[in-house]
Amino acid sequence: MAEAYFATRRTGNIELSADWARNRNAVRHEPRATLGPVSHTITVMLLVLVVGLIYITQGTKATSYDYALNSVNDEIASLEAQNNSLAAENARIVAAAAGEQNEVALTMVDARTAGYVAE
Amino acid sequence: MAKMTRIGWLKVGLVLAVAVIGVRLFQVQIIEHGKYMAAAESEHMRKFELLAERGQIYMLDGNKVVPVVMNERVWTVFVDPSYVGNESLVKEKLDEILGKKIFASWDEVFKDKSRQYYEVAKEVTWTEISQVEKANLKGVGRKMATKRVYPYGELASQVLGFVNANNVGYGAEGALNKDLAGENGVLKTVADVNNIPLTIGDNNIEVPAVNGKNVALSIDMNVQRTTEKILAEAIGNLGADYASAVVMNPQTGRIYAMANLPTYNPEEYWKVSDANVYRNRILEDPYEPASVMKTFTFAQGIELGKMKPTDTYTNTGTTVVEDRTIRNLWQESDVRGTISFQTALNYSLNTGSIEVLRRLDGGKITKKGRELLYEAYHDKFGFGKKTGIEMYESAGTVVGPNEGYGLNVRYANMTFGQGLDVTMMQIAAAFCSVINGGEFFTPTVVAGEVINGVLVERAVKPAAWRAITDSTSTVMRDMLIEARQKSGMAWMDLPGYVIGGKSGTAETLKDGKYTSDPTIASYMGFGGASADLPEYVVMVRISGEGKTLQGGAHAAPIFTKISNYMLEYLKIRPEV
Repeated sequence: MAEAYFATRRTGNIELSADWARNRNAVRHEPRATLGPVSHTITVMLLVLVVGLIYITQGTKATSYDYALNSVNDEIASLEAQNNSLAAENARIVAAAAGEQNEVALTMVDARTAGYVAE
Repeated sequence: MAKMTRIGWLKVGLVLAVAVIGVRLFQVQIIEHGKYMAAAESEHMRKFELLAERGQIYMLDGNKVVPVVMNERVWTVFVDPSYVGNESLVKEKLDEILGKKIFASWDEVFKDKSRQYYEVAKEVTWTEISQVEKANLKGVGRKMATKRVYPYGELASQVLGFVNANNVGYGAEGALNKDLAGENGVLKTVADVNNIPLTIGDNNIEVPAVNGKNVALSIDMNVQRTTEKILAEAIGNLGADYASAVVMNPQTGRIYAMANLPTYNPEEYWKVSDANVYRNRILEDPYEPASVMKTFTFAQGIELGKMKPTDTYTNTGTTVVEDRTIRNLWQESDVRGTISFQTALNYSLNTGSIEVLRRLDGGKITKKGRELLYEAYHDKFGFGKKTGIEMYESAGTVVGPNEGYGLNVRYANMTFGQGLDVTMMQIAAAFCSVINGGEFFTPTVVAGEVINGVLVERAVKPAAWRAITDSTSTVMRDMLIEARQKSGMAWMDLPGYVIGGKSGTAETLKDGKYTSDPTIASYMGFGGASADLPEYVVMVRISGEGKTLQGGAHAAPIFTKISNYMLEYLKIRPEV
């Protein structure tokens, strides 16, 4: 009977006779292809490239948020400027109207000139 | 010794080369680490100043607060001639949008193309700059700045003040600058070529700006406006050069109005030809106030139990102090002979106030008498020292009782307001203490802070000290009420109220001599529904070159107008 190599989950590679193989959960392992040094290098480079791409995409994403933030800040500044401008204009209009509408001022008693007695 | 092979030399060379590189790397990375880090940081790090917003100033409008000094964004528009594509389009559009704000000559702007920055318009508003942006003009840029806006123009200009180009502040803008200015922040961050801050990097620092406080003044704009209007009318009618009035609450020291005319518009402060209009005369202009000071002389006499209003003395129209004869202005025979101190106050007789000084120490003007008068003026009523108001103010001058020569004459003159310099603010604050029960309140123009449009009132400060007793104050109120009634001014008052006051006509010093050209006319008084609770104090001053204005005839009617207004404005119900 020809000899064969088996890999078992319990013992690894052992030389077995047909008797010993009975009732054992064993698989035959026969590697068909192996990676050479070039393939290994390319694989590592690809992994590094993927990690680099992830870093670049995340970094760019953060920066793009900065531009969006800057744009929002510009908008806020513009609206604040508009708000200030309108508030100042409103205050000018209110000020112009206020002086003429003071009822107490309109009905104020006039003091007439009085002679003085002494200083 | 074996001869070195070529490969051996190569090995030695390599070792040396590696050693040189190693040493150099050590120098660059370890020894000069800081230098290269700084160089690298300066390449990509930027430092931005985060500007704090200057606080606004508010005034009271009854119970509301109204902004009277605000911030407005304005822009400077500039042109880069080397970058402009279509010159005629730029000229046409900017002329159309900015009109008269274009101060540059277009020929000048486009003459030298190598110049990359040429300002063409300033103080461009948001509406205008938005139109400029829409026009999308190549080679046209903008730069933002903040401008202070005074929507009420000249109203209370000396109180509000302004900040000039050199960052020197006048009025509240200067005096309250610490509160108004806020604190700039800083942002240190990585930035791109357009200086847009980026969050990448782990050395970014942001210290946010702290905006200035919005300060609410105690000035009531209605009282202020009316007071200014009344002063303007008086200046017009009397041909005076200037007039001032301060209105305050004697129970708290809060200022309702502080008006000085002529005035100016703080938004265009550079257009003023006479810088004197910047000055708040009420606070910064000490003067000899004349007879209004008799109030304080009499108060000290009563306080020390040296006299009563009904006590009498002999008035001959003049009195001799050392080598000087001092005369009364009122020389009619109806007040000659034995008269009361109340009569002396009613007719504002100098002999009466000098007699009080004599009675402070047994009937003679002595060192002790001078010291007692000084104690009253300086220590009790605060003359010769700053009142403590939040604004710039002068301390004035009260010569000490033992300083210099001719002190008896000087102190005799001081009893009726000559020979000392005091400010209107000092007089008004001291007068409040005379009539409010005797407590001296530090005058204040600050009502509180405005947060989100709501006034958060500052707690009323307690009295700084007690100047006189309540009983002296009661006596003085009655004396001042009678002085007003007997001097023919009460008929102008609204019926049903209690009004008291004292006039003063000060001669001015010219070439070392007192002259009536011009005089300074003053009147100070108080009013309310009852003598026990004065609601306001008003002090008025008016003068004009070549004018002999009188306190009773010219300043008193101004007081009356303001007083009558206050009675109505404060909605004081008459007790009658």
